Amino acid sequence: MESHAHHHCLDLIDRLNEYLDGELNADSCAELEAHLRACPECQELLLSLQQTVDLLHHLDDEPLPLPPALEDRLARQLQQRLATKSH
Amino acid sequence: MPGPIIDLSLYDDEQALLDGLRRGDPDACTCFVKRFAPLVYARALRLLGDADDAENVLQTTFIKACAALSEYTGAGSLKSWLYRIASNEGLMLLRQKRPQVGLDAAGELTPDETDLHFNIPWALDPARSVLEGELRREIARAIAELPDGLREVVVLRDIEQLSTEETAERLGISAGAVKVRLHRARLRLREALARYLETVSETTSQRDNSA
Repeated sequence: MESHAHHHCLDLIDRLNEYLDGELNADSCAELEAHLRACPECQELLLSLQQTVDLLHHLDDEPLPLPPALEDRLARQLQQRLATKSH
Repeated sequence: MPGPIIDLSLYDDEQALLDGLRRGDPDACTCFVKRFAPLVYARALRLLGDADDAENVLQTTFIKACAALSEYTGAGSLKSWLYRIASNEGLMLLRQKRPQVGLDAAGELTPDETDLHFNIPWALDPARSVLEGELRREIARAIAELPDGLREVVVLRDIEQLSTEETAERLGISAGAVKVRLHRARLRLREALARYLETVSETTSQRDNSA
C-alpha cells in the first residue's frame, strides 16, 4: 500500500474512524467518499478498520472464569457484609 | 470440602436476586458472584491490562455494589450498573498509578505511536468463523498491550460503547482528545490483527502445501 505515503491519503486516514462513527461533517464526508471511490487502498483500510471495530463491539460480555478460590472468597465476603446489614 | 449444591436458577430473575441480596440470603450472594463476577472481571482486565489490578477492581466493585444496593433503582440492568462501578473504579486506579500525567495530554503518546504502517495486508475472511475464538484472544491481548491512555478510550468507546461525549466526561478530557486517541488505538489494534492474520495465513498455506 505504497500510495499511503501520499499526503492526501494520510490526511483522509485521520478521518476514517470519525467516518465509521458517523461523526464526520457532510463536506468532509463527501470529500472522503469521493476519495474512497478512487482509492482501493483506503477502501481496504476502511473495511479492515470496520472489521476491527466490529470485533471490539463483540468482545463485550465474554465472561472470564475466575480462579475458584477468588470466587469463594468474594461470595463469603459479600455474605458477611450483607448478613450484618440485614440484621 | 465442597459446599452444598445451590440451585442457581432460583435467582434467574434479577428482581428476585436483588430481593435475596437485600435480605442477606447467602445463596443470593453466591449466585450474584457466579453470574456477574466473570463478566466484571473480564471488563476490568480489559480496562487495566493487569490481572492483579483487575482482581482488586472486581472486589471493590462487588463490595461497593452491596453497600449501595438500596440506591439501585433497577433502571438499566444489574450488569450495566456493575460495569459502570467497575469502570469508575478501574479509571480511578489508573489515575492513582500515573498521577503525574496530565489528563488531557495527547502528548503522552510517544512519537512512534503516530508513525503507523499501513503496508500490512488485511487477510480476514469473515467466512472462516473457526478463527473467531483465536481472533478474540488476539484482540484482547492487543488491547492489554496498548498504553493506558489509549486502552481506556477504546474500552469505553468500543467495548462499553459510550458516546464520544460520555467518554470525554468520564475521562475528564476533551471530545477531540477522545477522537484522536480512539483513532490511534483502533489503528494499532488493526495493525496487531493484520500481523496475526498474516501469520495464520502463512501457517495455513504451508499446511495446505504439505498436505
